[in-house]
Amino acid sequence: MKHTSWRLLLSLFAIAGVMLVAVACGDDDDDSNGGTGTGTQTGGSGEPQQGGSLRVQYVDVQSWDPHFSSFAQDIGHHGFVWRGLYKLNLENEPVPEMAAGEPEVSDDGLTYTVTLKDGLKWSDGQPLTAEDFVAGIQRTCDPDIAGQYQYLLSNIVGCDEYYESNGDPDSGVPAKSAEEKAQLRDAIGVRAIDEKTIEFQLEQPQPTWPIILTMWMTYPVPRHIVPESNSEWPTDPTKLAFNGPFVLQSYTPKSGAVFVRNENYAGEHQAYLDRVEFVYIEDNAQANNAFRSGEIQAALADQANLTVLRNEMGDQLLSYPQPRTLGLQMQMARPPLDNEKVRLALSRAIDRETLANVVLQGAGIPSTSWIPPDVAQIAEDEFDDEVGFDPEAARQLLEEAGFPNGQGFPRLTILIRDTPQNTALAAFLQSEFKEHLNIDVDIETVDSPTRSRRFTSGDFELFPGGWQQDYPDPENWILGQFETGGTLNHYNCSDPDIDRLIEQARFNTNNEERIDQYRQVNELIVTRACGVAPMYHQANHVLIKPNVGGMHEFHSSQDRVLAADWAPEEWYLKN
Amino acid sequence: MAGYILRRILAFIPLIWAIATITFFLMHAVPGGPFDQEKPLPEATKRNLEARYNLDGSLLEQYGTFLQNLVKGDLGISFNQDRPVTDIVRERLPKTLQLGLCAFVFALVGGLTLGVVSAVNQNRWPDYLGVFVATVGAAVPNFVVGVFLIIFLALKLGWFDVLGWEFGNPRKMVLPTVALGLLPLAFIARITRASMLEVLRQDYIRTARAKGLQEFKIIVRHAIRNALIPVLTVAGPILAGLITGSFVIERFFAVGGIGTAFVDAVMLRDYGMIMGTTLLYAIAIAVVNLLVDVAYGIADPRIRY
Repeated sequence: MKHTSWRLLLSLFAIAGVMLVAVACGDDDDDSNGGTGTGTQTGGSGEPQQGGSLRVQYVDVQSWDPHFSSFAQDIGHHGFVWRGLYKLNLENEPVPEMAAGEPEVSDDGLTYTVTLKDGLKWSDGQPLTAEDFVAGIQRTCDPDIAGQYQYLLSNIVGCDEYYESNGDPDSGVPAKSAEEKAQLRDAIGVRAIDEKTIEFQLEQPQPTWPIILTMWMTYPVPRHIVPESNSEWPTDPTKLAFNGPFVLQSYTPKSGAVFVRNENYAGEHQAYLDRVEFVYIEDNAQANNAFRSGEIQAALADQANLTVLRNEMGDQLLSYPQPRTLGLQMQMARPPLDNEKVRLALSRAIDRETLANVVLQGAGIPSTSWIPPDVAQIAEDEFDDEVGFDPEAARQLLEEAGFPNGQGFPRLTILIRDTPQNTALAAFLQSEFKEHLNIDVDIETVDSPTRSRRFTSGDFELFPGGWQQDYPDPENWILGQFETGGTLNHYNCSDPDIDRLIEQARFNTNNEERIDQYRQVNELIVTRACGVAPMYHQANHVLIKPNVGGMHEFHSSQDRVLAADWAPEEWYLKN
Repeated sequence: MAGYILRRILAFIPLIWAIATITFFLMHAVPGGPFDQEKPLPEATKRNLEARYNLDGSLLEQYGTFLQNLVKGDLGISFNQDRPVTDIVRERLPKTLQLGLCAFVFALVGGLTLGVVSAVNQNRWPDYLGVFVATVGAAVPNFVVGVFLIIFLALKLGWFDVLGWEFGNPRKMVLPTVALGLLPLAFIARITRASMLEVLRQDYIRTARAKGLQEFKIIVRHAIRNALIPVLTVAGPILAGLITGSFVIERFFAVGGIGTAFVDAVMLRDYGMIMGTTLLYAIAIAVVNLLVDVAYGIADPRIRY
């Protein structure tokens, strides 16, 4: 009896097992599209209808204070719920957002007067006034807040003085007293002339000032909730008030956030979607799985698997260039990297095409220019003839530098962060240098904070690194990084021609001339390999469900994390 | 027994102090600080940031401030999230606890069943099946198991969700529980099997059989209870390990618990968060060990404190 019942069970298991295998190895079901919505037809003329809810992957925020934070994902969150006086459009030009029109500029270019739109209100109904914007500037300049983008407001009269009023114990500069600090704060060159008018006083004329007024550190402060410039920002962000296209309904750290439309938003048009939900997923491979199963409608593509994704759902994968350049940075204070021919030899030994298209699976666009194409109309292959891949020329240069066939060349080290892409990149560079120049380089792998510390203290030799644009102007790519003694110039680039051009361009009010001067700086940096040999511009790769609209039309170099997340009011649901 | 428990609880205090001190100096000995990010910061900003988070002053001064705050129960601020550490812990601990407890129950029930069935049917096919499952569970890393579970059960069959954790929602609970609990299950199964085999060879079992007691009653009423002692020994550390959170599974299934917080904090040099989670772990393990010792005393009448 016992044996027959075991046998029966065994056969049942076997049948079940076979069925399971059959189901599992069967065809894929098509992935569901998800996204609930009230019907949204684009109708005849294509104006998206209102309604609908979207669920997307995002990266968790570190700080909800736009006057403090510097992370792209934070800025992405802030842009959903707050807006500044101006906003950049698709062509990267400032257009009025909370302001009624263009700013009035004094003849000497030092005074900007901005008038607000009528009837501006916070999401809780309180009036949004000029004083709220003044408070925003003061908060960013406040030393107790330690705003990480304060340096972009350096040109406002008094901002630096207030920011440094806590003194510097190392240099023996004492902190200012409370009264002195209050005076310094009131002396900052921003004031409300009346309820609707704000006046800015600048130290030097700055043609890019209207662009600064689109950025997050100038967002207004809801003074009825955060009264003083150094008051605590509420730890529960839903307690704040908002003036952007959405209102934050709920936020669960490391889990997700929910935004709903802000009826008091005074921008060009109300947001189309009723609701946007963020799901914080750190692992992009997992996010891609959630995208496949329909749990989310947009996700960042896992860049280690781009080929697979292209084959599997290429029509849902959107790839576009980002204003982010990666290059091989070289410590010019360490011989033989102080020799221009050595640096150029290294640059000419790198096959950028293979690197970007094969090693990194098409994650970026090969380039020999530091400043990316759409910032100053410079082609990515502009300098290919002079510093691009040419093994013969590279060997020649190394020989002229005194190291024929790599003889006598010291063993340099490439310092990288521990990720699959960086490991592949470093291994590729190592093999390129060996093959084309016959020199050996070592690879040192560290974690992110250690790498950053080594960079800022100048303790490195070869460093794959680069720059991500803060705002769309060539000066953002140069200032601080390439002039002698620049605060971010950790590779010791020091070239009198570059310095001279930067001095001229910095406060040049003739825009055409200014941009051209920066183009010349770019050329000098690249052709002399001053501190960096550019390799490629990075691209963004995003998976988007077919029924999601707005992301394809509005993705741009302003994207923080996801496509078109700088203008979520343009997202909508199709069908 | 009461005196023993009290003594053990009092011993927590020097334990916490020692762990806090070692962790504090170790953290600061590692290169790189919380403000060494991808994008380099201007000097003035760095100074203001350090002042804001009490990172200025010498190491000993910082240690002094830290101890003063610790006594008051203030674990400091997480630089990463700009909020008190205690807030973050309070928010994320429940998820890790829930996941850990579910995985523990799964491992315990599954492991015990598997181990008992294996031992009772020694050298027949249920035994082989049980040992096979135990070996697979112990040998295959839990994220590999997780990948297979997701591919087959979530993507192909659509029975479960790919990620997230919501207590009470089986679509979200089953996969992380199984992925996390499989290794402890394997472990418990093997120990139970070995222990049961030994118990079944004992004289008193033979006596029970000779007296004509049903096999089922022998196993359930007599053998299992005696076989549990070694299982209890390992159950404690297993529970402690599960509660403190598996970083891999939490990240993989986007659970949003304490395990990820801890590893992220170390990677980002978030001193406040590192200290908070380390002390949390220390207390959890100490408490669980105490509970196991007490359970011992209850389960095994031969043990007296």
